[in-house]
Amino acid sequence: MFESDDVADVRVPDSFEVLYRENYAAVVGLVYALSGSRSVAEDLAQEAFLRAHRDWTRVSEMDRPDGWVRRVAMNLARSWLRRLRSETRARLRIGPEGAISTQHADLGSEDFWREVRRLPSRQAQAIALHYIEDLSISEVANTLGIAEGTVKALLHQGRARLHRELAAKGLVDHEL
Amino acid sequence: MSFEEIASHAGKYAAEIGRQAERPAFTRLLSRRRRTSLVSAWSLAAVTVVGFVVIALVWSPGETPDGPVVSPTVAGVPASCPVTVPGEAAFTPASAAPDDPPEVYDDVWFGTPDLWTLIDPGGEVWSDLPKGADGSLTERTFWWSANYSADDPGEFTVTAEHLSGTAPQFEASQTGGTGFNPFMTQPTHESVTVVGLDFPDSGCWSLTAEYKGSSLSYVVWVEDENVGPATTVATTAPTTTTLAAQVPADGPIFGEETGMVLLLDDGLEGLIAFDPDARRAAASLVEGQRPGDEAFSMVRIGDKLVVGWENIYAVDIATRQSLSLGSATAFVPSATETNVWLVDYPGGRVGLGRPTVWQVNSAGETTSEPRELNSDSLPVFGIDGGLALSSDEGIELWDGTTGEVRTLLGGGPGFAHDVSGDTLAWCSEPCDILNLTNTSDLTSQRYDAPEGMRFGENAFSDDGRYLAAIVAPLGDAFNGASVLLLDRESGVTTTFADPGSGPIHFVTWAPDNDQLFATGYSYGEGTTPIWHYRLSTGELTTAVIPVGGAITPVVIDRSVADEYFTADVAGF
Repeated sequence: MFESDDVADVRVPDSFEVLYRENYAAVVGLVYALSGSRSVAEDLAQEAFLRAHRDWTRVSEMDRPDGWVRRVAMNLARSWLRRLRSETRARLRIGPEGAISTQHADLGSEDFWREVRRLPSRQAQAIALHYIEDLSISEVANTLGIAEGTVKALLHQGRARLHRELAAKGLVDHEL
Repeated sequence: MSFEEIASHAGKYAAEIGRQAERPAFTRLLSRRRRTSLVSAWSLAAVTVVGFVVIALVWSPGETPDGPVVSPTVAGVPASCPVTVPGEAAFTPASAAPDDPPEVYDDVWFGTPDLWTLIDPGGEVWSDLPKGADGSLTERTFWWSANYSADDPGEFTVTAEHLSGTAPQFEASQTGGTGFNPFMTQPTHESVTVVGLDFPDSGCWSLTAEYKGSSLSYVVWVEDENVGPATTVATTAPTTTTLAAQVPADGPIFGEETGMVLLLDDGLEGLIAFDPDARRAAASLVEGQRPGDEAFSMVRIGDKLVVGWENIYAVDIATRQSLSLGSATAFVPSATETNVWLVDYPGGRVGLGRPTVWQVNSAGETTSEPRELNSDSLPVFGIDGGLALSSDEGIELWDGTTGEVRTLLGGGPGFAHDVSGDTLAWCSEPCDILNLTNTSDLTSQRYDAPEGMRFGENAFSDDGRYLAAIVAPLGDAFNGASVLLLDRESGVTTTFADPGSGPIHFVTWAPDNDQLFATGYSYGEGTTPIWHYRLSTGELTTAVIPVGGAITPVVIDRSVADEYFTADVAGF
């Protein structure tokens, strides 16, 4: 009934190519931290860039198209996790063990991100942006579209909770 | 180790994983998207004003097409590889499925009702495939079956045999390899089986899918990078429907002041507020809408906007204060002006299993106990005491107290458009008849579209006296659309149109019951056509505003719209 907004041609603007080339790895890393799956991270990152391309006329006019892509990717990761958990509960054949590979993993880092994924989603996103991309408070705020004060609160709460959990496992010192 | 040390180390670790990831050429992603977005095109086609009605892909078995036709004449493929060319064996599914895949995919259906896929009518030649970690060439395949059931999904396998004779046979299943995509969000994927294949070598491959006792085979040619026959990909110039902005030189856009502001879901992350009197527009965020979320998720319920997927919010129109209404896959308007129905599907996928439904009011209070919907059809609108459901054969009316389901047969998939009191406006494909049905006694009034035309979106005025409906030529994507206005008291109909201002897709009433706006779907465009019609004068004024990205419109009184123009205001 409506005209589709699907990809009808293969034009890729140069400005989009630059965005894609310069940010793809970072977005994959971000989604990996939040999903725990390399393959899912790549697929969701690609989906986020596809959505940016679909709406490039408008996304390109934003102050930070790269931030928009990160937000889309993080939302996709959140949705994926929610579905994964629901589906596991529903005893569908999709289990987290099948989706999350720990082959050749840095187990300490894996433990860290596993605990991050148990945080409330906003806290997890703030932690991921801050520690993976070394973004400042201001940059995290811009990327998440929230106030700097909120980011500070999210990071403080997230770090405190993470510290408790990791300390209980003997992975970090007890002093924050 | 200190917390900061492990956090910093973990951050570097995740970043390194990102750097190690292969970054496929973006044009390759687009090519893959052409396939994966196949279903999204259908779901978009089935969207009604509330935004998430999707036709369940269910077909009736019984047809047995001819066997595959093998041709040695596929361009660039060695004659020794019998690539399957569907030719006259192209398959036409029954019932709700389109006769052919959407044109953009350049493919045809192939198979039988028991098992079918989509392939290139000229034969499948796969080039520039992404490589897996082990160097294999990876590709996704898509399969459908009328025998699919969410309750009994069954085992699905695809066996690949290397006809070139040098690589071992391998098998992939729904749960193995790179194939299954648990995160796919499109609602109709529950009936699409996606199987990823990791080819250890290029060359000629025969693929055989097996599902519930049926099998289907076809042959493809797989190219490696810079190896194999050259192919020429024809590209076509992009088409555009962008119109030139058409607004008067000064003064109110529609010649006289409307006293109204249009809020348009921008389909990206918020809304666009358009003030035709002051010639300004502004974009802003609404809590609950998220970047990249599905579109068509904003409606007005009384003095609230309701938005969101997965987490539903009510936003006070005047103050923009938001309130969470709960966690659910989606929502649909209730027959009660202050309520909405929350609809929560297992796994968060629309159409997968039967949802739990319950009503909440705009204060977030539950007003009906959650219960499982005892129908496989899709909730689209609240009616008095229950829900209107979209089915493959028309509309079902579900009684929320007794669970009774009554069916309004329409001969095809049903689309419910709006509810006023106990009257439901609906049609069934191809929507050449519009039904106004009393949901209590099931009596109906039927309105025929002019010959060669069909009904699109329609909406009742707040007082229920008028119904406005888009009328468009059959199969013409709303070019040449007009608005039909029905006075339900007198039975008089009026039709108006301004074809020069571009296609329009939505109608929405101002709360004064006198002004009607029709707007174009401009997602991805730079302009939006808007028609303004005033019943009291019978005057139609149209404009094309230099703002695009508009989807479902909501009209609010201008006196409560200040909060939408505090930032990013553009004048024109």
